[in-house]
Amino acid sequence: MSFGLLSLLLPLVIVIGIIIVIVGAVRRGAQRSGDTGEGADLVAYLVMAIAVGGGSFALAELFATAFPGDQLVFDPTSNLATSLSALLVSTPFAIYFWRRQASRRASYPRSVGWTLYLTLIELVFGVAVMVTGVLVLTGLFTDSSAASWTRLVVYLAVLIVHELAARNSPPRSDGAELPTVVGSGIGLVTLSIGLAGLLGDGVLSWAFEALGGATDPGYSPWAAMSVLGGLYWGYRWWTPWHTESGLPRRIYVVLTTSFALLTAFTGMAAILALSITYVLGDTSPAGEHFRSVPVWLGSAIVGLFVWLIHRKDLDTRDDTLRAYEYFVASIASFSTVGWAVALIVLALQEGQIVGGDADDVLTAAAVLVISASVWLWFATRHNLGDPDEERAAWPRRVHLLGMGVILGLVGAGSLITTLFILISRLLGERGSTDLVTPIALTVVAGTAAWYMLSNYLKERASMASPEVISPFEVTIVSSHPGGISAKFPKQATVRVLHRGDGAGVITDDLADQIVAAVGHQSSFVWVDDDGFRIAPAQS
Amino acid sequence: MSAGRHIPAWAIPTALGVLVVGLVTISLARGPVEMDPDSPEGAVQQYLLAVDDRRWEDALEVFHPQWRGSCTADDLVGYHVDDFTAQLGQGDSGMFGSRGVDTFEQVGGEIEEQPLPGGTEFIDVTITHTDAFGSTWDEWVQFELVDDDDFWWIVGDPWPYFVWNCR
Repeated sequence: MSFGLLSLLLPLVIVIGIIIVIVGAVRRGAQRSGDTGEGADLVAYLVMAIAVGGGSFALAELFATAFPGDQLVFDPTSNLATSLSALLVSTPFAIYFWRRQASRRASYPRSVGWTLYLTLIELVFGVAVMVTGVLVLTGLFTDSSAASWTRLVVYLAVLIVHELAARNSPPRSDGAELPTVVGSGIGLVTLSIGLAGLLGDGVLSWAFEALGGATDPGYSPWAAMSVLGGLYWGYRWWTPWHTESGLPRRIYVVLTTSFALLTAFTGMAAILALSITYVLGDTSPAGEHFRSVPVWLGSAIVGLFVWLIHRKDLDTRDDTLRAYEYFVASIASFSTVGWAVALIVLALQEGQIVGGDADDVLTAAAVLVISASVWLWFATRHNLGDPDEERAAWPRRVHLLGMGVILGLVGAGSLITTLFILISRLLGERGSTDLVTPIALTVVAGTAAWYMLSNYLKERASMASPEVISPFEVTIVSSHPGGISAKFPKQATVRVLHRGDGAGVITDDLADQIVAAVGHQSSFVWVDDDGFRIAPAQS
Repeated sequence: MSAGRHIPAWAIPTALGVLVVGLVTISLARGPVEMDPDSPEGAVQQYLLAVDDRRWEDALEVFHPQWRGSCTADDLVGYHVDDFTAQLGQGDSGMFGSRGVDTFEQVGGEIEEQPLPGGTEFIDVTITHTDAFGSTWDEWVQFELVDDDDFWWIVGDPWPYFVWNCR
């Protein structure tokens, strides 16, 4: 037997051996674990995702080798060896686990593994379709090569096969909408970048150039991103949902709405800063000074567009809306602290040889005012709701506690830096280490942390914490108990021993006094004409 | 009942096998495209094929003498790339990745400007490198060519960027 044949057979035997071992282990594991279907399939779905993903990319590579476009230097051997090796290993796993999990889904339709598997495939191949699709579409209208069309076909086929499988056997676990939400996100991000580029780098730059500005308009690859992202997002987000809005969709709405608004604010803040520095600062000619306006304006318009669409999904004052408000408030508070420190440093630092001119100060001041305004606006939206409910809402508590702790740590870190520099100087260390920045950061971050944490503690103290009452028994000796039983909490077991002498009438006032005196402890209560007496009892 | 359940169990593996065999056959049967040697793309192909086959003298034949300066085949030997393929245009890395270092200026020097005798053309090429384990990565490079005496010559410091070291 030649070494060539042996070198081919040996890896084959090893691969077949590994397949047999893994398949056997999965079967034995399923038998041992009681096979509930809940979580037991996770490993199987993970292996399936790796096998399907690896096999699909190998097939795409094989297609690209067979149809390589205008290949100037062509050597298919390496690509063929790589693709065939990957296909040889992954395909048996992919086919075996595809069939196995399909039959198991019939028995355990609520398994979370199917949802996670579809999410992973959506994430990987959704991104792959967007990237290769943009390349192919752009290549059709520009001089660059459109060589990736074969990859696009394979990635698209993978998505379609999984879409059909998901329709045939819809995921029914908690958070079953996760794959669709992930697909929506991929489409929306692609669409947003495309539209922002189309506006900022294209239409608005063209308009700015027509007005005499110094720009260089361009439309590639923004148009392709807009078209493909729009199609993908439209299919995922605007087709009817088969499930109620669950946690994944709420998180998606909160994140997209927040980031869209922050993008819009960032764009508008940049334009405002440019305008102020142009009016008050010492700047270059308008055509040069405002050359970045098309980009900022484009991103602001797209941010507002996305915000308007998704803000409508937050129409009731619940924790989802609060999560959005406090997420924006958190980012804005970070920004406020950062720009406040920047402004202090610009104002106080000496010996700065680069930067620190009037433009920088004006920019920092303008952005600081905008950041602080956004922070205060969103941090005070709780005034719109019921005070007790707002104080108890988890988004507010997480915002105050989380930001308080994070800013407190930042302040503590900068305090350590300040002390280190001071002690070093006291010990005779010579250096030009800047003290303004750590002191400013200590003061600003520390103040913000104090504000957050003091509010958190004050609100926590003001919230009436429900008392935990253990079950207890009360035995009352009385001639006329009245409605005292109803005045005890539900944890109380009340027994009444009726006296036959007519003494010990329990009025409403007396009942309140008895309930207060018992104090949720197992007791005997003796009531007569002189009032009541209580003796503790063992429950 | 879904239509998918009527598909026999052997059908998909068989179809996949046939597809793979077909693609392998096509891959092995085809070769590189043959560009017109008198075109800019053809000149780049001549240069790259010569570099790939280690025909250093032939590679320098399409390099404009005025730009070649004192560079010889020995200067190109040290910059040989072991295993690569080349495709016309920007591949996957072209749009989202960065272009390779394709000018002498970017590596810290400056090539003396030469008077251009004729028209200029820029050709985008995606170089795909393969390592010993079969994994690949792309590099987008650009070749600058000038038309002189009815022939397209490569000028500047073309991939794999050896001119800066010998001019």
